[in-house]
Amino acid sequence: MRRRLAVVWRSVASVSLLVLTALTLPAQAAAPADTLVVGIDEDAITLDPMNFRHRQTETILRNIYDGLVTRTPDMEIVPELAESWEQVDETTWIFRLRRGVTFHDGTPFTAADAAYSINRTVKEGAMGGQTSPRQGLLGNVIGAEALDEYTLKIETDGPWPALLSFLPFHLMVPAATGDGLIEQPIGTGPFRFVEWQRGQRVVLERYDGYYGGSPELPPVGPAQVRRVIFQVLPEPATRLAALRAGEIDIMVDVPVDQMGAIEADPNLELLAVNGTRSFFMEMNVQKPPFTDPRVRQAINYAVDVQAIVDGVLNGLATRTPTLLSPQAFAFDDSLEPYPYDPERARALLEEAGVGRGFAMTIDTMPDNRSAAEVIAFYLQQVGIQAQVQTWGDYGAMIDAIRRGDRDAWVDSWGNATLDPSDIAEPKLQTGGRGNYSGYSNPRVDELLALAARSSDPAAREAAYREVQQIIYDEAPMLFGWVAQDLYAINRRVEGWRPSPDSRINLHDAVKR
Amino acid sequence: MRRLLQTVPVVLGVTLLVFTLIHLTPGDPVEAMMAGQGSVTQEQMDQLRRELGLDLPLWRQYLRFLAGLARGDLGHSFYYRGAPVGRLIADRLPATIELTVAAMVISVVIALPAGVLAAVRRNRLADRVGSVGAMLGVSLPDFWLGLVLILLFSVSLGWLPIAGRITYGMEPPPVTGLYLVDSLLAGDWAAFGDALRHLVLPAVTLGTAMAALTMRITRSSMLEVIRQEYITYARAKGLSEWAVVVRHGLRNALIPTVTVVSLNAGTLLGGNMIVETIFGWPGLGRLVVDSIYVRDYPVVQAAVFIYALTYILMNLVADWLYTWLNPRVTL
Amino acid sequence: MKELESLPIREMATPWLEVEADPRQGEGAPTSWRLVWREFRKNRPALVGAVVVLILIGVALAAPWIAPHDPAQINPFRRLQPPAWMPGGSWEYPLGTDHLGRDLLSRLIYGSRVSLAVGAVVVLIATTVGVVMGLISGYFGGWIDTVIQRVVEILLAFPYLVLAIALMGVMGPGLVNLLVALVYKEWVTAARVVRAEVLAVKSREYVEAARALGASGTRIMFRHILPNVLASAVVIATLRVAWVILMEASLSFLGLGVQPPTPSWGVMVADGRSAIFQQWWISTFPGLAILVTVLAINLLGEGLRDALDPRLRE
Repeated sequence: MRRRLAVVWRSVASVSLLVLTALTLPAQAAAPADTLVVGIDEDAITLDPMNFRHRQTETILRNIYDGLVTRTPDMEIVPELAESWEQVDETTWIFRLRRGVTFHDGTPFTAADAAYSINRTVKEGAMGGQTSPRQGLLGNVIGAEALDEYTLKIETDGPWPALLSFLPFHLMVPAATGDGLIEQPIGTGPFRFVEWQRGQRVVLERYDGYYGGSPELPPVGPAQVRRVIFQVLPEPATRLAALRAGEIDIMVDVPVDQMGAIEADPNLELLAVNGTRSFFMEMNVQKPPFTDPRVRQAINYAVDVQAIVDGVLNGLATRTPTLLSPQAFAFDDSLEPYPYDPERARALLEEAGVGRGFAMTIDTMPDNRSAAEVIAFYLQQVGIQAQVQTWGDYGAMIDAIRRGDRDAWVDSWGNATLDPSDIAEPKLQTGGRGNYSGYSNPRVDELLALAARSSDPAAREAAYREVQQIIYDEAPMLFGWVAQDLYAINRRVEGWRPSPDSRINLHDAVKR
Repeated sequence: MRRLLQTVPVVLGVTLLVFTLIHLTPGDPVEAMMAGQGSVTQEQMDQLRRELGLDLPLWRQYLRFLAGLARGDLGHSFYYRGAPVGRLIADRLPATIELTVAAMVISVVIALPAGVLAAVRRNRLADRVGSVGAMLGVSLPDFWLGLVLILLFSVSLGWLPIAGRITYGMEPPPVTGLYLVDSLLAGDWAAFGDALRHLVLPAVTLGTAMAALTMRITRSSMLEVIRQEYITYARAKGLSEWAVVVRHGLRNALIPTVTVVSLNAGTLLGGNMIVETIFGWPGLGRLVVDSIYVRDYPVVQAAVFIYALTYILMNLVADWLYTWLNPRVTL
Repeated sequence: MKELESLPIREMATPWLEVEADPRQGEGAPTSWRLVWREFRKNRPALVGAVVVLILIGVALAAPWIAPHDPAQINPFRRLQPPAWMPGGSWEYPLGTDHLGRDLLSRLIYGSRVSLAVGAVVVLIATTVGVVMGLISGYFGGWIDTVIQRVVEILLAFPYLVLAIALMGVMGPGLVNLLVALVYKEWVTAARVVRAEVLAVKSREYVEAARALGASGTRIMFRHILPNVLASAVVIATLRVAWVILMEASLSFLGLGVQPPTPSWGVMVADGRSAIFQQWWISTFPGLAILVTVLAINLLGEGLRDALDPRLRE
C-alpha cells in the first residue's frame, strides 16, 4: 500500500513540476498581424455550399466561394463571376462569365461549373440523392445550361423578377468535385480552405491566384491578409473580452448592452449597419380579442415603439410603419408609423368591448425579452394585463404558437434580399411558412401572387404598396423596427465594413 | 462482472429516457434544418422527413437507434447535414475529458492542503477560513465566475488566453486528441504550455465547484486518521507535528479523497456545458445543448449514451482505484 | 477505513454537498437534540450562516414593505444609473438601475423571494420523495429495491443539465415546470443516503425487537426507522437548497430561469452579464446575493452535519 501511494505521490509531484515549467514559458502574443480573427457566435454546420440554411455557415463559405453576382455595401447588385447578363425572354436569362478565373486547385472556372452549381441546388436529388435545402432560395429556377465555355443560360418556370436578388446567395463550385465538398471545399473566392476544427475554428488562407473580385468593388486583387480565422465564441461577453484582449479582431453580434463599453475603449470601434431583419409583436388573430382589428390597432397606439427604439436599442433601429424595411423594394413611404396615443388606444378598446382590459401573455426568446417587457409595461398602462413569458427554446416556442393557443409573441423575420416577396409571402400569405398569427386576407393573397409572377416592376410595386396599406389598417402585428446590426472591431483593422445582408467579406480587410 | 451486468439495464434505461424526452419535445428537426430565407414547400419538408426516417413509428425509430448502437454505429446528424455522429463526438470528447480531468486536479490542489489544515487545526481559525474559502468557489454561478476570471486574468492582466483549446498552428500531431498528452508525446513544449494556458481558466472555473466537497472529504478522513493509534504513537516518538501529519496522516487520508474525486468525474462531465460555452471550448456539452435546441435527435441520443457510458466507467475506475490503494478491501 | 460501506461512494450524486452516511450514528439512543445544539453553537461560521439565512428569509417575507420601489417599474429616463456611491449615482437608487431603469435594490429584494422559494419548494418536495423512496428501497429490499436503485442510477448517469433542458423543452417554460424539472432528479440524493441509513438501522436490536413483537412493516418504518434517518435528511435538505439555487442560476444562463415580472437572482445575473464590462453592478449585485445566500446555507448545513456527526464530537 505504501508503494502504491508513493506512485500517486510521485505522479502528483511530476505533474505539478510540469505545469509550473509550462506556465513560465513566454505567452503567445495576440493574433499576429497577417492573421485576421473573426469572433463568431456559432460554428459552421457544414462546408458544402449547397447543404445549409444557416447564416454563420454562409458567412464563412462566402469567403471561400464567389457567386455570379454580389452586392455592394449599399445592397446594389453588381457582377462578380458573371461579367454581364440579360433577360432574353420572360423565363430565360443569359450570363456571360468572367474569363481567366481559376479554382483554388488551379482548374479554370467555366460555364459548366456554373451550370453544375445551379443545377445541384435546384434539381431534385441532385446532391447525391438528396435535394438541396437551398432549392427554395432559387424557387422558380428550373435549370441551368452551359451554352459555351463562358456563357450560361438560366431558365425559370415563369417570370421571376427577383432572380438577381437571390443569386448573391448561390456559390459556384467546381463540377468535378461532386459531393466531396464537405471535406475539402474548393472555390474561386479570395481565401482557400485550410482547416475546420469543429466547434472551435475555421481557418482560411489567402488564394494568391484570385482574379480580384468584382470590379465594382475596389480594390481589385488578392486579399490583403494572409490568413483568416473564424473563432467560435458563443457567449457575447466572452467575445467582447477576447476583442479587448486582442485575441479576435472583428466581433459579430454585439449586444446593445455592450455599446457603452466599446465606445469607451479607445482601441475599439463600434460599427453599425442597417440590418434587414424586421422585428414585431405578432398577435394570434384567430383568438379573441385579437380577432378584432380595433384591438390590434389599439395595441399599436398603446405602445411607444420609439421609446423601445431609444431606450432598449440605444436608438440603433429604424421604426417601420408595417413590417417592411424602409430600404426594401416597393416600401410605401406615405405610411407613418402608428403614433403613441394611449387615449386613442383606450377608446378603441372601449369600442371593441374590452374597455376593462384583458389578460394576455407575450412570448419571447431571451434576446427580445427587454423589448417584450417594455411592450407589456405600455399595455398595462391602457389596462391590458400583459405579462411576458420567456422561452429558452425557439423550436418549442414556435410549436406552441402554431398550435394556436398563444396570444402574442415578439419575433423577427429576415429579409436579406430586401425584396418584399421574401418576407411578405411567408408572414402574410394565408398558410405562409412563417404566418404564425393565422392572418388571412384574400385580397392580400391575390396581390402577393400577382407580384410574385409579374415581371413588370411597376405592377409589382403597386401590388406591394397595396399590401402595405391593407396590413397597416388590419394590424396583424404590433409593427416594430428594423434593427441595426452591430459589430465591433479592433482599430488596427482597416478596409472592412459590415454589410446589411450580414455577410462578412474579408477580401479588402487589412490589419495594421 | 456482476457490476458490469448491472450496468446494462442502466444504459438501456438512459437511452430510452433520452429517446423519449427528445422525441416528446415539441418542435421539428426539419423545421430547424430549413430555417432562414426563401420558400420551402410542404413536399420538400415531408421528403426530408422521409429521408431522415422521421416518418417511422417511434418504436421503430428507437429500435433502429438501438440496432445502430449494437453495431457501433451512432448514426448521422440531422443538423450537421449527415455528418457521422461518431466523428462529431470523437472530435469533441477529448476536449471535454481534458477539461474535466484538469478541473479534478485543480480541485485537489485547492482542497487537499485546505482539508489537511482544517483537520489539524480543527475548529480553529485556519479550519474556519479554509472551509469558508473552499465553499466560496461553489457558491457562485459558474458562468459568472468564469466571466470574472476572464475579466481579471485575460483582459486586465493579460496573463491567460480566453478562446478555445490552443493557439492556431500549435496543435500537436493527433494521437489521443488530448492536447496535453499529444504535445508531450511529440516533445513539443511550446504546444504543451500553450494548451495548458488555455486550460487554466476553464478548469479553475469548473474545479472550484468541486473543491468544497474534496476538502470536506479530506478533512473528515484526516480527522479520523489523526485519532488512530499509530499517529499517537508517531507523535509520542517525538516526530514533529507536521511530519506526523504529512508522513502518516495525509498518506492515509488520500485514499478516500482520490476515490471521491475520481467518482465525481462523471458528474463533473455532465455539468461543464456552461463553462464550455463561456470559454468557447469545443467540448461535448456544448454540442449536446446546441443539438437539443435544433432537435438533432441522433446527436443528442448518442451523446447522452456516451455520457452515461463514461459515467459508469468512471465509477468502475473509482472502485478499482479504491481497492488498488487499499488492498485490504475486496469489493 | 475499515468498512467500505461507510464511504459515501455511491452517494456522490452531486459533487460538493454530500452527506456521509455513518452506520455508527444512532448506535444506542437516537441523537439528543440538546447535544446537537451545544455542538452547533460552538461552530461560529455555522451560527453566522444561520443568522444570515434568517435575515434573508425575513427580507423575502417583508419585501413589499422594505423595497424602496416597484421592482417592475420601467423608467427610460433613469436607465443604467450607477450605485449611489459612484459619480452619477443617487441614494434614491442605492444599487443603481438596470437597462430598463428599474431599481436594482428592489429587484434584489423581490428576487430573494423567488430564489429562496424555488430552493425551498424543490428541496421540500424532492426530500420528501427521496426519503420515502429511500425508506421503501432500504426497508423492503428485493426487487423493489433493485428497481428503485436502477432508476436512481439511470438518473445519475444522465447529464443533469441535459435532463433539465430536455424536460423544460417537453413541458414548456414557466415556474411550475421549472420546479418539476428540478425535482425530477433532486430526490435521488436523499433517496440514496436514506437507503444506506435504513440498511444500517434495520439490523439494530430495537428494530429486530419490534419486528419480533409483531409490529407491522409500515409501523416499524415510521416509528423506528424514520426518526433515525430524519437527521440526515435535514442536513441534506439544507445543503441541497444551496445547490438548487445555483442550478436555477445555471438554467437562467440557458434562458430557462424564473421569468419576469419578478425574476430570480440567477436570471438577473444572466441578463446583466453582457454589460459586465461597464455596468458591472447589474450582474454583480445579484451574483453577490447568490454568493452570500449559498455560502450561508452551506455553512449552516455543514454546521448541522458536524453537530449531528458523533464521530467528530470530542
